[in-house]
Amino acid sequence: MLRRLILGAAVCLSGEVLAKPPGPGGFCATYPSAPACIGQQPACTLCHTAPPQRNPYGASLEPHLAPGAARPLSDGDFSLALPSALRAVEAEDADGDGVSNLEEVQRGTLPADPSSRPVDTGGCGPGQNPQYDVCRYDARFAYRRVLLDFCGLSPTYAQLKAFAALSAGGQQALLDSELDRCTTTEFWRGKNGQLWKLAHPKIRPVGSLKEGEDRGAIPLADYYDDYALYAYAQLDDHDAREVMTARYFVRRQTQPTRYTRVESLPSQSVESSRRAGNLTSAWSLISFVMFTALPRNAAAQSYRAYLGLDIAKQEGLHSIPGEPRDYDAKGVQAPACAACHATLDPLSYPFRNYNGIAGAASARYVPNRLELFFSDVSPTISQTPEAGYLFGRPVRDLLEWAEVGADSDAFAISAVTDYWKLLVGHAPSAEENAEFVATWRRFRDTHGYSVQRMLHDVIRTEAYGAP
Amino acid sequence: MRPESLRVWLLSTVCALAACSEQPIARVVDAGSPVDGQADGGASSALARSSRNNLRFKGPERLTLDFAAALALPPDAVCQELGQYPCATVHGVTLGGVEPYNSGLYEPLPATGVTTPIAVDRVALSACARRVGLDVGTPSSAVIFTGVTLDAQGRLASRDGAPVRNAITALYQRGLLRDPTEAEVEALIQLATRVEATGSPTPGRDWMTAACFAVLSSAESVFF
Repeated sequence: MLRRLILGAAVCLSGEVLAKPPGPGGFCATYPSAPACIGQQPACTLCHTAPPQRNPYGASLEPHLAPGAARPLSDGDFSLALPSALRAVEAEDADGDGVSNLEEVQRGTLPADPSSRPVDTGGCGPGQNPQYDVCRYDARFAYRRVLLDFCGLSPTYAQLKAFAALSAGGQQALLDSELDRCTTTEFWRGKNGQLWKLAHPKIRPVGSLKEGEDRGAIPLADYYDDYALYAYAQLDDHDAREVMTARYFVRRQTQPTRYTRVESLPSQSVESSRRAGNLTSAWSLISFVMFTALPRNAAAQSYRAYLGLDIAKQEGLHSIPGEPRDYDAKGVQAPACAACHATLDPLSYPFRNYNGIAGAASARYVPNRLELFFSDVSPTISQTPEAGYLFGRPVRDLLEWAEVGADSDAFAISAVTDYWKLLVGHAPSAEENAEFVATWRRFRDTHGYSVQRMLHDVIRTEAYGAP
Repeated sequence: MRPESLRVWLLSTVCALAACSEQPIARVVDAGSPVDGQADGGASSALARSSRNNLRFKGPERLTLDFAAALALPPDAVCQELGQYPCATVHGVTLGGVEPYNSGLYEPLPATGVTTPIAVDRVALSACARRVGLDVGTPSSAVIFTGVTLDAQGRLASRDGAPVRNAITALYQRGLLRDPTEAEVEALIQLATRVEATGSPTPGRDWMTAACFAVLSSAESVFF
């Protein structure tokens, strides 16, 4: 719920439709401490169902936006009018859930969704509990969870007794050491282990197309290389950003599983100077670029997988003026398409020279790829630039795209959200937002993007260790 | 039908009957619930409850590993369909797992399905049947039912004896990581009477399996 809210868009629709590019920014200028504005901006769905249709919160705002002024409002007029309109409906309850719009905004729930409302949890009820301290963090509860989460099985009765007998400091030290021990197990790092589970939605494997180990009927690429790089970047204090930026590859060895950095692999073809981690792996190019001229799918999947922003859900929209140019003549300048393509197309341009399926030229960086292989797509296809935009910022090529992405708050938020969902059991809730924000900020600022260190923070949170 | 399959079917029937009963045994089926059976008020009102509602289902791998550890079985021996396919794989998606390579199911389903409890019961019952078979077949190396003897009719020789109580304690300590309450012990002892009433030709052995099943398939066992 909060995930949808905080991983949002900066810009919604362009042209004469009614969702306004300055909307999310104006919202966050009015409510800078709202959870939806910490590190990101809210999605278009804060005010819209599917733009331009407004949800109840957006509909309640509309009459207060420069009443009497001609529609559509210019972006400037909209920006000037938005703060007062937001304040005018603060006391209202757009979704009728009994909580005012202002309280929902301040507590990180959705003012247009009656199923999303603040919930007070963690209080101490009456009575006793012989098993757990249900009021607050319970180290014994956390101990069971750490062993189950990272080792895959519960402690024994004797281990639990021994743990309970330790001092608070001793318990914390044992939690830390057990976490470190368990992250060396096959359950955590092995084939189909927990790290691989995190990677599945990013890599999106297809068994029938698998090359190499577990070869499929139509072998095209070996996505186990992608799992290996992902796992390597998550382990042993490595920099998690390298899943997007690595110029190297990773070899997986088994019994026990080990991941080793290598400079080349026979299953990979993109030269070192053009590599951007898993964005340019053979599998990503084969699977996500495939036969397309402008690899929008590869860009959108990279954006979704590693930055947590799903354009199909109106997240992470940063409209670039003058876009989409529609170099491949797909009709994306139609207003209903331009809403997303003003972000997506400039996001895709840096992929223009990365080839998908094309015989001997498959899964390679091919200068002038569009000119060589796709000249018949449209008269303007060759004008497609290699420079593009990410988060509204110009990037000269895919390497810079990957670096900007990996250094962004979105990357840190997305990476920590993956583990939050795995370990806490759900995306960060409004009640957990303060701990979640502190965790991703420390992951970025203090831990140097080390997942291993971040995990030690997660197991100390109330969200994780309070029954 | 193979004898082992028949035994499993009979035990499933016993357990299902027990689950539907209004007698005290019904409360044993979820060993993690208050045994006095009062959801609110009464003695259970003194129990402080969590307000977070954030229990997590263990899923196929953790269930298999935990059952294996609790019953001192190799993970491969916990449950195999047709004797050769791991239940955690066959029922993986049902048990909250994923199937990314061939089905495109990259993330677990957001909620457990209607067949999930059936799959949990299948795995728990299989593991328990295996453990009981080993403990009865080789009493000298028994892990759970140490010293539990059967009479000529296959019943527990002493329902209230120390070996039976010790076995119940072992089930709770190994399966739920805690000691049973006296009420929980008594409820499982009473289960022997119910099993014998079914006319089973092997009531003592079936009680062992049912007692094990009641503990391992409880909410306290399968959530964390």
